[in-house]
Amino acid sequence: MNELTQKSRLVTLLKLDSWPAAERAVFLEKSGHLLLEASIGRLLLLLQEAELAQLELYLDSHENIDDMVGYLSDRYPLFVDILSEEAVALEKEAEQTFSSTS
Amino acid sequence: MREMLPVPNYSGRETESVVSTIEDVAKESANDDTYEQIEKNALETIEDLKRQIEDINTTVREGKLGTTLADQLVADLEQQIYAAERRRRSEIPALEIVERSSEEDAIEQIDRLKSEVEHINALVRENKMNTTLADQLVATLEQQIRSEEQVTYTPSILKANPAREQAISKMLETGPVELTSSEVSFETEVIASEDEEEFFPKEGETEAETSHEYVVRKREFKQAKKAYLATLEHDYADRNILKKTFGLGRKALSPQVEQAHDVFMAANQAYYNHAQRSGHYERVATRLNRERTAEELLLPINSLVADRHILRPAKERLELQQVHLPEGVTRLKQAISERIRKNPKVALGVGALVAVLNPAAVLTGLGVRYVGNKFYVGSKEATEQQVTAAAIAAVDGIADLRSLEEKQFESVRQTHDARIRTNATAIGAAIVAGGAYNSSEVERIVPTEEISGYIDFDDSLGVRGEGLSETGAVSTSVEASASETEAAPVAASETFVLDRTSITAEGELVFLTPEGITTNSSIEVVSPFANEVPYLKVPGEELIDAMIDRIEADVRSGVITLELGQSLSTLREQIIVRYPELTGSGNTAAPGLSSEVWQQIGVSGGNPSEIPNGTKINMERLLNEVFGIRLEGELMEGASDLAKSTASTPVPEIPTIPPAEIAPVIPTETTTETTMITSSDRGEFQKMLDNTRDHKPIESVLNELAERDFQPAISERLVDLTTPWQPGKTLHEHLYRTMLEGYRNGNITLPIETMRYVAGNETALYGFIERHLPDVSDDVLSKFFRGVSTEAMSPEEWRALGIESGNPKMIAAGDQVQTGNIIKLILERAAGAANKS
Repeated sequence: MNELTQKSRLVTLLKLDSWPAAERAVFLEKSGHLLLEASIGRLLLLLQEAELAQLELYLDSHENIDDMVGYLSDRYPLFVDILSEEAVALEKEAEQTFSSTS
Repeated sequence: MREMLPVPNYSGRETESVVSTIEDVAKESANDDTYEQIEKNALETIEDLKRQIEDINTTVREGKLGTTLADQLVADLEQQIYAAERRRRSEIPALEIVERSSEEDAIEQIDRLKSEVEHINALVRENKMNTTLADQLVATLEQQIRSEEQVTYTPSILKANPAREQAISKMLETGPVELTSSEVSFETEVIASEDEEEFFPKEGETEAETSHEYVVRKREFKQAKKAYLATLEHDYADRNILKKTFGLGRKALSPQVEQAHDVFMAANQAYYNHAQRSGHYERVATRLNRERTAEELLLPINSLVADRHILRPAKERLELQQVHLPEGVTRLKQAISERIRKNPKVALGVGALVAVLNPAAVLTGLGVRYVGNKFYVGSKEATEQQVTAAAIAAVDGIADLRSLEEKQFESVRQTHDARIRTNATAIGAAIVAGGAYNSSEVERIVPTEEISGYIDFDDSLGVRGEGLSETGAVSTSVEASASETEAAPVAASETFVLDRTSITAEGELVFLTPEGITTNSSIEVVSPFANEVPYLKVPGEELIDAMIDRIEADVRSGVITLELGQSLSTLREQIIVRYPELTGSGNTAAPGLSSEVWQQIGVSGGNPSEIPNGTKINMERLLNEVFGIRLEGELMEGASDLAKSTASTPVPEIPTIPPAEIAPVIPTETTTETTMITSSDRGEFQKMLDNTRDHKPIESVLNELAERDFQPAISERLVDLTTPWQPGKTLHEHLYRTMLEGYRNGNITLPIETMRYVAGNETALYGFIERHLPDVSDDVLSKFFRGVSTEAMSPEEWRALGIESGNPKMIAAGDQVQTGNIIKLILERAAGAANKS
């Protein structure tokens, strides 16, 4: 097993695998919204004025974008990196809180 | 002799707030024990009084007591029962008031109210609530928030250390300050209390003492959080470092913020540890689930705990940061967020990243990529692995990978310039093993049985996936590639749209014979991805597509109006459930239409999953059979015509019954099966279909949980209501108007979710009746959308309710229709269905 196969401790700490499916989905969806909010904010803060204007124009002319995350990750490859960083940050914080009871 | 009257145990409608949240239910109080004691004493008194009534009745039956005297005695005891009930109800809310007036709970209450406002705003954004109602609700909630904000908050820990009080108060007012050693002693106190021994009741320590300890921890937690956020706020305002610090991480924070964060995390940890180890959360869960069976132990204590200790602090911090975003960025961010909310699976998948990624992996070069609706996790050197689609499938209970694949196709169609940067594994493989992530980890999130048959785990570095075992049609093995490949975007018309049907001028659906299609059963739908697994589409699915297209056209043109909660995707699912033969599943589930009817529609063999090329389908007949809709788009008997039909119908006289003490209705066991498919036929197939539905938004899940708390009740006067029938009205309308009147006057209770809908649109009650008493409705389309929660009643049952014909649609003039009992039945069925869900 290399370092990549190391488990996410959050699953163990929260006993996520034993949660009822609906409850687990609620938690993960809330987490997802939080991560997306954080990641989108970070991404936008990194964009130049011209890029922001382009993005705004794109959004104005595309009311129904089915896969916004796909668009952002294609247009700004950094976005997915930010997303994973945010996921890790949230996970670490959760680990810190819950770790002493494992 | 008098029989014992049922004892009221529910005082009526929610009055505190229209929008209830789970946290209402789970709200903790520092005086849990007092709460329970009052409850226990009152219940014991009531039980004792009931026993006395039973004794009297027994004595009367034995002929040892005269009925007149017995009646008097029983009446007396009943009065006492009611008095005890009233006492119980008045004492417990009084406790709640005391709790909410306390400083610490005021903050929690404000948080809760704010989250309700957010919830309403989200519903408005998603067009699930009209703005007028939302404005009213928000105004009420804001008033409550202002009222709560009047409560002064002075944590006890501050009182215990004047120096610290001064320092932290200053910090709260003006921002970060350097803490002296005496001030920082707060941190050491908290950290010191991490000693596990402290969290277990010591010998001689009472439960009340541990409860006091809990309150202290909670206050410390809240105080530390407030101080941390205040310090952070000051940091943002002063240092203009938002670009570097925005997000959930802790980069580039000032030492003051770092320190405040450490204090907060220590308090958070101490609070969580104490609540967990002292059994507080366990007690809360027990109390919440006291009345439930083992199978129903679903109230969300886990997510509440995670919410309190992880998500909410992170969210509060993020909200603080967002205040400082430039206006243009805020606007853009909102626009993007709104679009993302349209696809809840994305959020779910992103959330799954928290569970599947581990910090060490990311730090050592693990990359996450997103193509279409899928995330790929892997190092640059290693195999790219697909994780999140599986995680989505898993957490959502989704077994239908086909729908995910379709989404992926759609995504590619929309993003023509998308560069496919991965040698993607088959979507059917979904979860892969080795390299970045191993299958056992996925199994932690997803019990294997939830996805068994759809995913093949393989812990080797190679990737093997089996797709679509539902049909057994596709199985493949794909070698993962270490290199990146780029594929040119493929135009939709070249690859995806393999038209094999056409609509004639006469409205017939004709199965063509396109080149390359030689079979009369399934066609292969090819993916744009080089290694994607094609899936087989049976002809019946073409019929579903054609029907949905037809309905969609009517929806777009305004002929059909979709009601709240209705969607075309729901309709598709309903069609598949009720007409399994369309997807070739009719062999294991009872077909919705007989083979003779299918032949009349145009399917010569009588089996719509096998339609020979050249077949012409009579769409008018098909729609008529399935929906009761004519091709020109008129609903034969549609919900959309409700306003029209009710407007032209004389409004029946309904006696106005004043608000009264209402008696509980004991929920009876009801079935959730439809009349079209028996439970044995549906079996696993139904279960699978249920699991393939789109992920429910958070509010749906919460609503479902709220529904489980429904305690049906109807006033004694209303339950006795019998209506001498007059021609010119339907039972459905009569029940609707009587129930609406009864609800307005507090004579019946409704599930919270139904109350919300009724608040926005009273005709929602019409659908509620239909759902739980389908016999009264002819509205085929509406039944399709809403589904029915129970089965039809027998003629004998209807006769027992006063309808002599045994048919609720054929009521003779003068029939004594037992309106009250029918309403009671509806409420019982609603409760039965809710408690089974």
